[in-house]
Amino acid sequence: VTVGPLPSGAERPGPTGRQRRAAVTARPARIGDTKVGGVVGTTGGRREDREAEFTAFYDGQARDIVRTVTVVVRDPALAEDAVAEAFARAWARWRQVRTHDRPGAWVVRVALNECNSRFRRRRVERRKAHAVARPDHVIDPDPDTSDVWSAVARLPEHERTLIALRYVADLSQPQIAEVLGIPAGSVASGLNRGRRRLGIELGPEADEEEI
Amino acid sequence: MDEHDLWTLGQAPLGPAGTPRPVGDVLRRGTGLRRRAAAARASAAVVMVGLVAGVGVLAARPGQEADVVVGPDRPDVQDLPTMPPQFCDPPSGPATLDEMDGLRLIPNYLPDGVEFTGVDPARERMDGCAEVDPALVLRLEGTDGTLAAEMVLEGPFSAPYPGGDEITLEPTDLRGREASRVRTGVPDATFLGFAWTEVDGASWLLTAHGADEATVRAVAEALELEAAPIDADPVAVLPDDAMPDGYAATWQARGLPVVEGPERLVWQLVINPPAPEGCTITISTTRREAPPGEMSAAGPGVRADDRVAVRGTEGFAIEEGGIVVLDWQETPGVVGRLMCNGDIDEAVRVADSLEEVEPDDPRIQPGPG
Repeated sequence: VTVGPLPSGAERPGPTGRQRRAAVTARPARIGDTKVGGVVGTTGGRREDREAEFTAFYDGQARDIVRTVTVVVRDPALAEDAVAEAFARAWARWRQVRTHDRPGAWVVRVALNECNSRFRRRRVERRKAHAVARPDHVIDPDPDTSDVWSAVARLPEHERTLIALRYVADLSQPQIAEVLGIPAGSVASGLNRGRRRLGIELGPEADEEEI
Repeated sequence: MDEHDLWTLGQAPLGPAGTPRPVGDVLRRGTGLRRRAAAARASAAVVMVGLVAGVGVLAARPGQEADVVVGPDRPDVQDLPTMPPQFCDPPSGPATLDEMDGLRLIPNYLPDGVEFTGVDPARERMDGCAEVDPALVLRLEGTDGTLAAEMVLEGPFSAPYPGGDEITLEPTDLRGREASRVRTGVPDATFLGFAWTEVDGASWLLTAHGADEATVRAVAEALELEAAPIDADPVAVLPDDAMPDGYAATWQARGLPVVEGPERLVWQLVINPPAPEGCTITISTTRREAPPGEMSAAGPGVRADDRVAVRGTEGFAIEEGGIVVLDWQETPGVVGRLMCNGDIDEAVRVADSLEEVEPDDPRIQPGPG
């Protein structure tokens, strides 16, 4: 019989500060934030309170996460599906997810895994249907969007993923390494490689980012 | 290209629009996932005990995405247990001595004037009487090491608390909804509680002995409740900052609290005279996981010692009006209860004298006639 100190939904402390870039308008919550919508630990145990907390988290981060995943997979519909599924899983395990250091990053990781799963399923289904192999369905960026987005969409997947997590999700390099499960050095080198490619395509090379 | 240009990727229309689904859709989907997980656990448990050969088949159909899962849905709130009745006499029938392995205990010591005369092995059906593990137990120790107060949360249940004899239910507000304030008509009783039904339809009962109403109400307000937990997630959590001063959580159910039954074996010792003048001793099987014993009263003249050392384990004893109730876990799945006239030390001595005997031991053979 287990009797003893018990866990609770207590808030995890942690800094949320991060460098802001001049080109980005300040937003109330970002994917790398360490608190959920600023309300973790302040709500009671009622289901409505938990829903309100989750909804605040969703409202604050869902759009950024959909953008992030869209940049990675270049398919807005797939990104929306995968992010919705990832958030649904977050809600199903909200008591645990809300205490994560970066719950938004957790959702990004789950969404990217979901995209990979769906890609795999599509390939299996095509093989089963004896269809002629063809590349995965990709939607080009809207012509009204910027040249930068168009150029990023043409990057190799790994570099595109790093660019999305760094510049759309606003995750630090250590956070990206954690999300992708790769060494921090690989993140830095991959980002540099991606920026060089973009510089060649778009013009003068991007400034080297401090690590 | 300036690196600052890359930050525009996060801004429509320069970057992708990013159109999240309505949060209501996500909440519904997440709730469904949680329920399916609970159903899968229930199915697995059924399979484990061999009652059902196979349920919960997940089938992937061509063209179907992962968010469509074929399988049993989570038992609805109606499938949660009901609160055990205040008084219940489960139907029972005789059992054989051979069935009582691990339960066949007889005393080698009893107080003066108290005599062990035989045994009454029985099999009880728990239909309608099944006790349920508490979801959460909080206890406050006094300065002398004795138990000063206790709060017990029970639930989730499929139906609201119905009350009982000498119990009054008064309407009140709790957790933003209508609730019942539970009191007893016994003068000077320190028992009180709250009963309510959450928005998901699951009902809960928080009772307390020795705690003031404001403290009990504050705990009830702060509880985080989940009637459809995933895996071993607790159904009830009290955030650390809501724990009343001096209290500690001594039990928290993992997953849905265990329901007793459907039947149990009971080894009832026939003792003359029985409690309250003499002693009553019962050893029984149980499926429950929570430590046996709970505070039944608090106030002047009530002495309770948590963690009484008995039979090489920790028991729970409470003394009131010269009667001691002592509960302990004999082995996993077997619990003992002893009620004796006297003090706690005397009760522990009786319990410690219990000796396991074989089915053919002459001291437990049925007498003539």
